[in-house]
Amino acid sequence: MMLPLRRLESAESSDATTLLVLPRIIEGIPLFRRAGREMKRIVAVVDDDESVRESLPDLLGEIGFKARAFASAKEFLAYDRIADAQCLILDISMPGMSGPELQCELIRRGHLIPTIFMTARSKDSIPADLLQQGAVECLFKPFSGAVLRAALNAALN
Amino acid sequence: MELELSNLIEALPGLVWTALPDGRAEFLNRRWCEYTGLRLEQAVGFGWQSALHPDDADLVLEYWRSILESRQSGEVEARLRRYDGEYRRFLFSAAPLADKSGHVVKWCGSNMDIEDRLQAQEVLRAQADNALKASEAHLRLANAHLTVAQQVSAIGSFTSDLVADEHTWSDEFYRICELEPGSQVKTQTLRDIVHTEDQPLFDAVIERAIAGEDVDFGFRIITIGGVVKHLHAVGRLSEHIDGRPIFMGAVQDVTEKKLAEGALKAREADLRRALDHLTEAQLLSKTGSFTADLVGNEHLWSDGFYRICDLEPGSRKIHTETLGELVLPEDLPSFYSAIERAMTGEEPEFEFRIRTHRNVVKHLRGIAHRFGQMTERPMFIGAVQDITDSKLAAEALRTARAELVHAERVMTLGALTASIAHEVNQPLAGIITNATTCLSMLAAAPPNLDGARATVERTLRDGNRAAAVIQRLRAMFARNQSPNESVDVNEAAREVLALTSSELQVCRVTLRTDFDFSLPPVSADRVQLQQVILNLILNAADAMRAVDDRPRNLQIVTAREEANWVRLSVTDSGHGIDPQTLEKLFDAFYTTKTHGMGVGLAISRSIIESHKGRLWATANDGPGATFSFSIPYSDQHQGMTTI
Repeated sequence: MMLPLRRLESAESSDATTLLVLPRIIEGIPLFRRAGREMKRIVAVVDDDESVRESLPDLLGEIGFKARAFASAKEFLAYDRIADAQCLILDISMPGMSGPELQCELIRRGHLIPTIFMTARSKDSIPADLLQQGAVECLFKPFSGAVLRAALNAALN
Repeated sequence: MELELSNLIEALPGLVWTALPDGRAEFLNRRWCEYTGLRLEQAVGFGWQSALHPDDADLVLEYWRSILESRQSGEVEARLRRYDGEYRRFLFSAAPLADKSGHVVKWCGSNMDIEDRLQAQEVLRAQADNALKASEAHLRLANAHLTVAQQVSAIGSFTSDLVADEHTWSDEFYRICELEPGSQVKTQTLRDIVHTEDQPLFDAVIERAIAGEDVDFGFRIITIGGVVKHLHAVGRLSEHIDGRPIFMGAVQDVTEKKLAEGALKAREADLRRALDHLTEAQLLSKTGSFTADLVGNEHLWSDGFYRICDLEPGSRKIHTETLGELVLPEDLPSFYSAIERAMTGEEPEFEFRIRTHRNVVKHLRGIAHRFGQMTERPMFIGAVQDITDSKLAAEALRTARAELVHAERVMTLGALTASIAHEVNQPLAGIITNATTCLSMLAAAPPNLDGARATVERTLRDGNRAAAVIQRLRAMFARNQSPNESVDVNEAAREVLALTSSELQVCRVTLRTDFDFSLPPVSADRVQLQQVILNLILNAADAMRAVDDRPRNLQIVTAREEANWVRLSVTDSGHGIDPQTLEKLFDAFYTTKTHGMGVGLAISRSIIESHKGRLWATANDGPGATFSFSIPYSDQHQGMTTI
């Protein structure tokens, strides 16, 4: 867990070279227009499932995002750089505070962060008003890189 | 000639005399004179009279005169004095001697000493008298005895001359017939009191008796007193008088015997009825009884036992082999082991299957008790029951219950779909994400091999995790019944929790476990046990679904109880249970839920009971309820019945 994070953090200072590689790997994903100041900002992943916390940040890193994983809502709320979060990828059901509850809490605190939900459950099980609270997309596990990329695009544009 | 005659007379050993036609004694022989001590000249004429006993003299003279007149011979008895003065009794005989013209010319006579003879006769007579008296006494006594005997035995005797219609009855015969003893009886006298129904028989017997046949028959009479008596008469032809048969016989009052016979018959009938009832009852209940002499190899079976074996009751002699031949080969060892145990004096209970000659397989259960004292030859009395129906019913019930359990399990599976999908999708998400990342890292120039290796390792781990979920599921929802195995209740509960934790999470249930890690393993059907735990957990979660004003707490506790019991409790903080409906909870199709069949707890209880344990519910002090089950454990893991 620590190793990828360190690598991601070190990637923070690198230039756009890596990004040029991406279109060859993940087809159909448009190239980011520029690597500017915004690129310093991060994508936060909040999930109680370790598999997701370990794998998703790496993939996000390959796509070209800096990512950081949190095991619970509480852990994220305690993060001192919440404002740096460019996008949130939240698991819906988590012990303690759930994904939607975290979203509400962030809104309440004034953090308006584009949010992508994800769940291991079926479509029927998600709250009907989930996407009306300002969420961009809900990803159903397991999801492909393309779907993730599309959601990220939607969130950031 | 005269002289010769005179000499002859003198020589005669008796006292002899002659007399003239007028009665005067002419001659008396020497023996006469010697006896009387009279000289001849004293005795001739009427001198002989002086030797007569004075009491007899008149009688003799008168008789003598009558003889003389009649001129016929005659004799008279009188006492004659001997020379020594003793009188002895003599027979005086006289016979006339006539000439050719018929005139009596002389009388000849003799006096015969009959004293000795008379005395002998008297002695004899006295003896005879005594004997007669004695025999009379005996006879009287015998008669008295006979009377008493006849009374006691209620036997009367008779002699009958049927043709002359003359009868002699003993007093007892009269008494039996309630007639005046000694009154005159005729055949008709008796016939009058013979029971109407028996009169034809009576007449026929009399007719045959007149023809000379012996009599031996029973008939009823109705006495003047109106009493019906059963009589048995036996008559034997004893003699014929003037060609008429005379019967001697006896009549016995057999009323009591007849009544006793009747009572005996009634009792026999009762017994037979009882036996019939028993047979019927055995037939209905499909039971049979037996006695067994194993050493002598002789068995007695009730009709019911024969019928159970599809044999005609009593159709054959029963030996141990008779049954042994019917026993299914796979049950023979237990059959013969029961026999062997019985041989050593044990009282066996046994259960085995037989195949009858109608090719029907039957389950028999039996029990035998010892009776009799001989240790070396134990005798048994026992009963067998055809329990095929209940076996088949139990089998059907087991199947039905298994199907119900499965249905319930499938329902649970439905309820758990989301949870299961979650459990599988999590690792799948990891796998796909990792694989995507891996490709990306490998495509980089230069390829990020360290990163790729890390993603592959994570992919493997997630793949295994998914596989483990599937494996757990398959075990839990498998259709086949697993045999009893040694089960760690903590481990079983943990596996269930692994499948349900996400469900609980969705339901916002806080789970707490308090496991006793020193629990010994129990012998159980793991899948069934987990089914129960799963039911209890889902019920608990369900009970808390509507709770919003307090934490939704679920606590699972395992503990060791006294006397080799392991307990597992599931406590929730839900809506709780009404003490009124506490027991109803376990009834099938009783449910407090809107959805659900309500069979969960009923099945759970039957599962626990099949493990010889118990399942119960209690209301908490605070909100909610606690459901617990206990099952026994033992150091030796014995086989237990599966449901």
